[in-house]
Amino acid sequence: MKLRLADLPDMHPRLLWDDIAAAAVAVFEDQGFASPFPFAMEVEQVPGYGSGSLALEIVDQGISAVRVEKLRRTMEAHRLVELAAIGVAGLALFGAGGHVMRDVALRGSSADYLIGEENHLLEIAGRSRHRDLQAAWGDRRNRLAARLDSGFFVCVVEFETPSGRLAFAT
Amino acid sequence: MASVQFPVSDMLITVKSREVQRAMAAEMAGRTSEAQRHFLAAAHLELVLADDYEQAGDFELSRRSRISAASSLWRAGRISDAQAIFDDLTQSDPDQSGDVQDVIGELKSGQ
Repeated sequence: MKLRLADLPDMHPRLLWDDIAAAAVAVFEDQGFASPFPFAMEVEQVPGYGSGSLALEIVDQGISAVRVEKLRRTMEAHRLVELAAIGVAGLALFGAGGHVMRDVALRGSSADYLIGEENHLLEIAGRSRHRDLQAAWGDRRNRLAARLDSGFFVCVVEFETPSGRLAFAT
Repeated sequence: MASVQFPVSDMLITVKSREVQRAMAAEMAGRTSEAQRHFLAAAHLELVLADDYEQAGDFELSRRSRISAASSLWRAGRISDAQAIFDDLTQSDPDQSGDVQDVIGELKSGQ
């Protein structure tokens, strides 16, 4: 599935995407990938999609190279990865069932997002190394399961291979 | 008389979400005073939203907005104001006090 980072504002119109899209380009390029960036997302029990592999080709057309360079200069690498993960999550949610990120709120040191009319919570984690993916996955999933009685989304991504997991759990 | 559901403004949610995002982006880039301005704006909007959600009968979203308001105030440097909201949340729902303590712990570890 080919998706453009520049289309994120149309997919999720309530949120700001300029820095997030540029950060995604910076991180993919810094990992040695060229657009369209390949991304293998494992999708689990997501409403409207189900389960399976979602092969994304992420296109950088329409993203300002000047903005990408500015972010590289002003933001630490791990912050870029955090932002890039939000961009990939936004694309994957839209690609896997057309889910819309409607709101973002602060929760301590992190942010959580609300998805769709049902206001399901989403937590996102980004990692630069593949081997850190599983720990991030378990951490996010267990934390939300302990906190919530209702369904929630978790999306973790890594930019080394690059790959990720997107799940809906109850 | 039939009850009327109090509307929660989509525009208010959008503006608040974007203020949270602008605050986080500024903080990530080390623009501290800019981040604090946006955190303060987000905090005040979250407090309005919290009341709106409560009026609409959505107490979980109201609680979430109050946690976000307190987190935003904390990150804007208004720690005593944030603590007052956390104290209110703990007193109004003691069963959820552990959740609030987790959030405070995250904020303290981020200082």
